[in-house]
Amino acid sequence: MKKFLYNPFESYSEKKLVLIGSAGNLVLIGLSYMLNTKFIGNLKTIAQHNIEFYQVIIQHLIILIATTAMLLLIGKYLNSKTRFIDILATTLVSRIAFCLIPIVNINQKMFTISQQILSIFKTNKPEISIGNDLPYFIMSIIIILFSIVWFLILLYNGFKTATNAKDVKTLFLFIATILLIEILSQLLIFKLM
Amino acid sequence: MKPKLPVNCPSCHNAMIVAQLNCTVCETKVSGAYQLPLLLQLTEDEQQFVFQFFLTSGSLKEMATQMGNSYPTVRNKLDDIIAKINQLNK
Repeated sequence: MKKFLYNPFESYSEKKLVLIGSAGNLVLIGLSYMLNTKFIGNLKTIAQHNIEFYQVIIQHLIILIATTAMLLLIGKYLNSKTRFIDILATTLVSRIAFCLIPIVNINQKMFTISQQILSIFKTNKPEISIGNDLPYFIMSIIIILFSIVWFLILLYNGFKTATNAKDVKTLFLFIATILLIEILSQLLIFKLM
Repeated sequence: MKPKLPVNCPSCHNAMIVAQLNCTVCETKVSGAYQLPLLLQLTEDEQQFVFQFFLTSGSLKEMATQMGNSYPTVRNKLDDIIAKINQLNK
């Protein structure tokens, strides 16, 4: 069970992983829509007031396709035997970690706090404060950071298993690819929506 | 307990060779410096893997199911053994 949480790619078949990952991503799309959380990259989310269902689907599809395509490209460069299905399973399963992020915006709480913080900066009035919401805000940041770290651990372990890459070069290439995916998905989402 | 064949020196970790062979029936002894066959230079785990690969007619998918591992994990292990054999062959 413990291994399933950080490296299921070593033990479970690709069919099982794709199935679990797809189900997890459907849950993620549902949560993003119901709790108004916009994903504009693997590492960037925005709590919003109102979000359309088609927008949520397109955002998640863009990030999913960009991540899979870029990792496959680098995977093929590192090891020509890298399979599409293993990279797809890696992306799908890793993104399950993001299911925790929309939860912080229950009752538009994170949206309200972020609006308050924005108004502090815009009006330059330090007397406006998030006061009672500070513990909630800190807790939310911890949950979001935990999700991102969990996502990156899963993604790296899946990528390593799919490519059989072990050296330091792989880690640097992986980090560079993640940053590239982030830029690519944000550009695509801003351009298309 | 079945004793394991040591393929590497426990002191300096270099490859070992066969220095003496004994006949258990007539007690004839042959001395020399014989290199271990390539397969015996692999670790016990790796030898077991190669044996399993042979028994499944080279089906990595079947091996993955039998071993309770994913396909890429089994393929990675095979690639590592191939790389090791290539290294030993040099």
